Formats: sequence, C-alpha cells, structure tokens
Amino acid sequence: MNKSPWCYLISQGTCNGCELEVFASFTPRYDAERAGMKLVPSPRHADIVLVTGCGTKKGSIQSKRVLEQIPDPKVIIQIGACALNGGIFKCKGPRIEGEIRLEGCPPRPSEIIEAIKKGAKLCSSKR
Amino acid sequence: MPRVEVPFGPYHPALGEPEYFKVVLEGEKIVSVDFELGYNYREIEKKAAMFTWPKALVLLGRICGICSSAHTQAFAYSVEKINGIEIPNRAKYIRTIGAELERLHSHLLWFGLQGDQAGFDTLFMHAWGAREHALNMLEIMAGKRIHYNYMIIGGVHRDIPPTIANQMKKELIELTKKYETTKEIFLSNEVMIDRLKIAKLTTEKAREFGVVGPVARGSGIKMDARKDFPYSAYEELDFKIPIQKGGDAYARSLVRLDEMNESILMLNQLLSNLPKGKISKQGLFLKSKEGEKTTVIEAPRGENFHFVIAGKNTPKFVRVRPPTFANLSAIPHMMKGLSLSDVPLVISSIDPCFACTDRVIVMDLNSKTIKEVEM
Repeated sequence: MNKSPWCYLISQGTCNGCELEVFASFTPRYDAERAGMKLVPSPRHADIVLVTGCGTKKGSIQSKRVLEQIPDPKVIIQIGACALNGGIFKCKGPRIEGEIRLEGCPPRPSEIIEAIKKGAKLCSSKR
Repeated sequence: MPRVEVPFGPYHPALGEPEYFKVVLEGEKIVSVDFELGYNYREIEKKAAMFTWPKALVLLGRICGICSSAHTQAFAYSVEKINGIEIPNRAKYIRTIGAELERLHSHLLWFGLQGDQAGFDTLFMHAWGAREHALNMLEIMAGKRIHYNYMIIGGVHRDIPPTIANQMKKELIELTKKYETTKEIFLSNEVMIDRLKIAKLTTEKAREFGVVGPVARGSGIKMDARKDFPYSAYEELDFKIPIQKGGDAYARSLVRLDEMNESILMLNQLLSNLPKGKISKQGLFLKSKEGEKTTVIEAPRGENFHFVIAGKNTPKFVRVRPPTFANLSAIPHMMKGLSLSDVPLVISSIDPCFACTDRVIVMDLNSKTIKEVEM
C-alpha cells in the first residue's frame, strides 16, 4: 500500500475545478501513475479517498453512502477550499472529515500528488 | 419482456460529477430515460445578491471550473451594459483570448473523456496532454490554471505585455502540433468512428428540443452567438462556424474538432494584433446604476445566457441559463432504442456540465414537499 495507493474520487457537489485537477494529475504532464498511484472506478477497491466539494443538500447524503462502502484502512484527503470549510459558496451541509487537508481553489496537481504520497504512508502505518 | 430499471449514478465511474439517470430497459434495449439533478446545487444566484460587485463576479466564475471565463464575461457585460461602460479595445482582445483558450481546453477535455468512455485510453492521454498547453497559456496570462479571474467590471486586470505574448505564441505552436496528432489518432481509428455513429438528432428534432452550441451545429443548424450577437473582438476577427449535417455523435465530434482549429487560428490573429491602450477604464467598481440587462455569450458548450437586475451596491437578482440545460432535454430522445453500453457515450456526446446546470429547488406548497428540479 505504501508503494501503490489506489485512489477514489468523491465529489459532494462542486464546480468541477478540483475534479479537473485530480484528473489532470493522472494525465501525461504530471503522470501520477508512474509513482504507482491509480484512480479506480469502484469505491470497494480504494485505499485513499479524495474528497472534493462543499457538501450540498443532496450531494452530502449520497457521498456519505459511498464512503461507507470503502473498506478500512482508508485515508481521507480533503481537496480544495470547499471541502475544508464550504469555500466561497458557504455551504452548511455535513462534509466528510479527513486526515489530510489540502488548501487551494483548486490546488495544483503537484500538490495533490504530494498529498496522496503522504496519505499512502499514513495508510500503511494504519494496517 | 419484463422491464428493468437500471440506476446510472449519482456516483458512476463514467461521470465526473454526481448526477442520476434512471434508465428503463427491455432486454438490452433502452425504453425510456429520466434524469434527476441537483447534486451540485450551491445556491449561487441567491448568494450573488449578498455580495458586492467585485465579489459577485468572482462567485459567478465559480459556477463552473471549465467555463469560468464564459460566466464572468457574461456577467461583466451585463453590468457594463447597465452602467453604459464601453470597455477599451485592448481589454476586449484580452477577454477574447481568454474565451478562446477556454474553448480549446474545454473541447480537448471533452475529446479525451469521450475517448475514455469508449475505452480508447490512448486518445484520452493524448488529448489531455495537449490540454496542458492551453492551461499553461492561461497560467502565463492570468496566473492560474483553473478559475482564472482575469476579468473586472470595466475591463481586465492583467495585461499581456509583448514578452508574455511571445511565450504564449510558443505554447500555441506546441499545442497545435499535439492537436494535429490527437486529431489523426481519432480520425484514423475506424472502430472509434463506428462506435460514435449513434444518438441521431435530426434538424427538425434539434429545433424542437431547442438545443444549442455544437449539438445544434452538428445537426445542421447554423447558430453561434459569436456571429449572431457579436461581442468582445469577434467582429474584427476572421473565422468560420463549422457545421455538420450528420446529427450523430460523430458529427458533433467533428464540429468540436473544427472549432478547435478555428480557435487556434483566432488566437494567432489575436496575439499578433493586440491593440495598444489601457486595459481598464476605472478602478474598483462598487456603485452601480439600477437597471436590468441580458447578455448572450458563446460558451464552449453553447450559448450562455445571463440576466442581471442591479441594485446599488449588490446585484438584486441574477439568473443564469447555461448551455447544458438546453441540450439535456434531447438526451432521453437520443437514447431510445440504444443499448445500455451506449449510455456513457450519449451523455458525453453533448458534453454536459452539471455544475452549471443545477440552478433551482422548487417547493410544492400544496403537498408541502420539496421537489428538486433543474432549471
């Protein structure tokens, strides 16, 4: 798990900015896959959860249900200002709380990769 | 044959954003489709009325991370019309550069995602590799890759000096090279092209549904806000509007491919003919006249409509009709008769942006329930 963390993206209702940067970190310029990271389509395969979005009324309920399907041990990374405190939209909805917090609107792909690296270490220490 | 209801979303690997499609199947065939939005509803229109003018402009840009420039531009033009502000020529050119760069990066993004959803990962990687050059240009120009708030009411707040224009031209050459390879990869793959000959929308049906942007142009309707209601520097530019008559997903892809080519040609014109002068007419815009105005802007996905009623210190009311709202109504019609495996491709063929589309929650007072609909 330290070598090859598998990530899953949950968006709780966003403007798409953070999702774009997460996808961009897995494409040729930044290419997180050469460091063993992978974006997986199923929540049941994930070690690391990337959470974006401000927690809208409908989005926060559904995203919690998805989070429950992810097996332990897992590390949650909050990406972007919205996921940290509601951001510019000041959404009040319940948001998923995480171990690693990443600021920015949106953060750069290089920062996201750094955060995933940190998360991988944390995740292997949890086992 | 018994009917089966298959939920598609809200969290589905084929969709970047949360949204829910209910697909009813008879065997493998799709009989009917319904969709439910509202997962991205962030009360932006209400919150804009609590913000001062410069802050509201930033908030409106946050409607969508992909077409952030289209929303700020439409809002800024509406406010400028209310106050009778004519922005300087140089600012108009810089706004156009931003808008065209946005079209390039948005189309390349869609191009990659469509390839990804058809199982063609090579195309995805190549398209997103090319997209990084467009983002680089935006970063050089505005200081940020996404949510480049280079606009203020009355102009723009960052100039493009000759050194930066030269850097951008170099990036544009790189982008053009990569765009050509991506195009060749796409057009030389017959399997991909055959896969895309689905989701037919005839010209009559397209008129009936009132689709806009590349979806309408793919069905043979000539409409483009850049030519119909010229704004920014589009009057002075030499460009064509690509039109295809096929009406299927492949025709829409060709329209977007040609549009990217036009954008590159336009950027070359803009960067070499930047007029001299100021970039903004006034300082911080805080007090506005009262009034109301509408603006139509051609966003990457189609025409983006803004209606603003101005109060003194804040906007009183802002209404946004994004392009995806118009295009989404055609999806159930396009999906009928196809198989379940075609659903992601049909959705991606209109290039949907659900963050733009989620606008309104409707409360039913008679039954006292909250109905959440998209508008």
